[in-house]
Amino acid sequence: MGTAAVVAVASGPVLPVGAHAAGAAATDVADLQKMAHLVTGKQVDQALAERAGSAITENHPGFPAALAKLQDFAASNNITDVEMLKDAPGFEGDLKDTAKLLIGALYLGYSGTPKALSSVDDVKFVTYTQALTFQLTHPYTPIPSYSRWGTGYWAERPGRI
Amino acid sequence: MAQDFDADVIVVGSGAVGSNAAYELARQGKSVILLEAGPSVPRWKILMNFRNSGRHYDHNDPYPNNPWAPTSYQPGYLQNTGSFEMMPGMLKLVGGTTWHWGGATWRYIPNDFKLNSLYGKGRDWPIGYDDLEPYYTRAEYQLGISGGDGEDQSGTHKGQAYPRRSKPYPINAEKFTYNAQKMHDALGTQDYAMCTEPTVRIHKPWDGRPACEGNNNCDQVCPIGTLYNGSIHADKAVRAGARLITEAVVTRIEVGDGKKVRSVSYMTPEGKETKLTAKVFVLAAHSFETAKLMMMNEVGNSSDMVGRNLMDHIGIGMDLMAGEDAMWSGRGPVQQLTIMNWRDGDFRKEHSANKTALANGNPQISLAEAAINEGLMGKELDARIMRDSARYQFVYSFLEMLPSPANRIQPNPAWKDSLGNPGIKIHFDVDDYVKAGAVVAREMYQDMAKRMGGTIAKIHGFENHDHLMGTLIMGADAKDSVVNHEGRSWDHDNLFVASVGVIPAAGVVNPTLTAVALAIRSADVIAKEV
Repeated sequence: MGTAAVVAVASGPVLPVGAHAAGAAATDVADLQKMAHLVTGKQVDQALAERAGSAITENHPGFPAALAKLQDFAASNNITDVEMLKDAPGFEGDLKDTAKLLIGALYLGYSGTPKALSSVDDVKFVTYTQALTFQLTHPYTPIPSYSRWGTGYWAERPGRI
Repeated sequence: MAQDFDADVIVVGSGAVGSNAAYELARQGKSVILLEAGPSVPRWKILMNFRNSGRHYDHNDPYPNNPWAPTSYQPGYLQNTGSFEMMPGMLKLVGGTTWHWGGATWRYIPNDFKLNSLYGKGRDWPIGYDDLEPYYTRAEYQLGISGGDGEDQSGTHKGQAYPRRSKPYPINAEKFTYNAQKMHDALGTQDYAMCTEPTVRIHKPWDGRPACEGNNNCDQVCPIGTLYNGSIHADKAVRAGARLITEAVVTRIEVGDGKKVRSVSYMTPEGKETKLTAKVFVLAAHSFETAKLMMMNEVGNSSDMVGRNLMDHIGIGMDLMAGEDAMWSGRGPVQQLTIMNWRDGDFRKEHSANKTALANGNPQISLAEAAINEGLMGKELDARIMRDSARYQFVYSFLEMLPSPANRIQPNPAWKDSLGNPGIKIHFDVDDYVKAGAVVAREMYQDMAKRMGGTIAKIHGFENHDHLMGTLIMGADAKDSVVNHEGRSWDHDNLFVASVGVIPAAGVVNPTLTAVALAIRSADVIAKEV
């Protein structure tokens, strides 16, 4: 079973009625990708969005349903981008927590809560090089283990390469 | 009748220290068996494990963690009973824990060997700096170290090269990173004694290792094999004729006539036991594991000092937001610029010394996590990540712990691995000498932040740094130490210990080079006897 199927199956039975009424249920991959775009303001690769959704759902089985509510909230309030969303009245509590789960998975490259000094925790891998944090910073620092910048580059003043 | 042996020498543990001992002995024509509890894993697999995991904060994560040879982060394997949670990173594979380390390879200075004589604290070494200097040099050339020949590493010999060296470093020191240079300039050489950290992360090729590309991943895994680890000398030992046996968990030590060790036995992952005999045995299985093994077998412990006197470089650290907006930690070396204002002096009569340094690991995921938890989104989130990533600097200090028999490790029969071997129980409290030293370090942090035009975001409490000295303590008296100056057990003539655990006075510098130098010295002694 692929990751998309995991999300779809998990989310199917718990969709709120209102989601259908708004015509935007978070039941498929396309919606997950759109929601990733909505909460980050960035174009997110479809496979990456799927991975994020799947990883979050492993630790939070209610995530697909919660994401559907967030999508419904956005549709109902004509919210089309993250800058509108973050300041929207009513965007708080579970709605905001759901957005933070997706933002975290995409910016950090993992979902879950790290536990230091232990080989066991609930962290699930999403991505490494595509983590949105590194997409922002990689003009200034190499993604660790991926440097092709040449010996001694570190003595120079950091700048966009 | 002559007795047959499986080898002249059996070395237990293939980390940097054990592998260097094995190589020296094999190179000198001795038959050597090198036993390793973990497997041999190629670098590419470790690298792929790293890149395909979200658990980058766990530096043990990419490495094997087997039920018969667990890493230190296996829940339950290390159990703490003291006020301090001692949780060092410990690996079990060919090459040992140097697969992930900052690569710092300092020498102790002469006064470190005379701590008690000079300052009335702790213990003296049974040897002095001059005794060890030739072996430091040999170790530096084996490991291929880059360092600054003309620098004062003591903080007390301004303008001089110190400590004395009989040969220059194999590789010269590299240029400072941009942020290190900025910090150096802001602090100023008038008031701050600064030098370059000697390192096995080399900026020029050496002995088949390429020049560093600045991957900034030393603490997890070097992707290109620049950073030295013990597997290099495990391989060299094999090429010199040693036999390496992996996934061999040594559990028994048998003592025979004349209090000589007769054999060691190892278990395979399936539990099959094999006994091996030798003329001489070298235990180099990590300072915790070696002490545990000796206590499990009641070997070499007539002094009751095995496992005691545990010292780490307990330290503190500072999250500093620098005034300069282009500092960007995460470019190149993970460690480099070092401050030695408090390495040595009469103050050691009153409080711990410290070594303070700029850590240059990439902090960005942690900074982003904090911003997301704060609730930032969109442009505001991106701006915060970029602002903090450009300014964040981590400064950390090692403090000098004193040996106390109460700080100890013991086998823990309440936890067992898949072979039935015990876990490790640790009791560790931070002493007042270190606490007083931390006060001085904090005062220096305030001054550093001011000079750098920055603000202190946080000062971290005590943390361990995986420098596990004292558990196999070296001394001049059999009544209060485990081994003599040769690394030889006081109780068993043919048993040697090669480990940072033998170090009797911790100082404030990373101890791996010293342990390798001592191991080469022990190997020379052994080679004359077998």
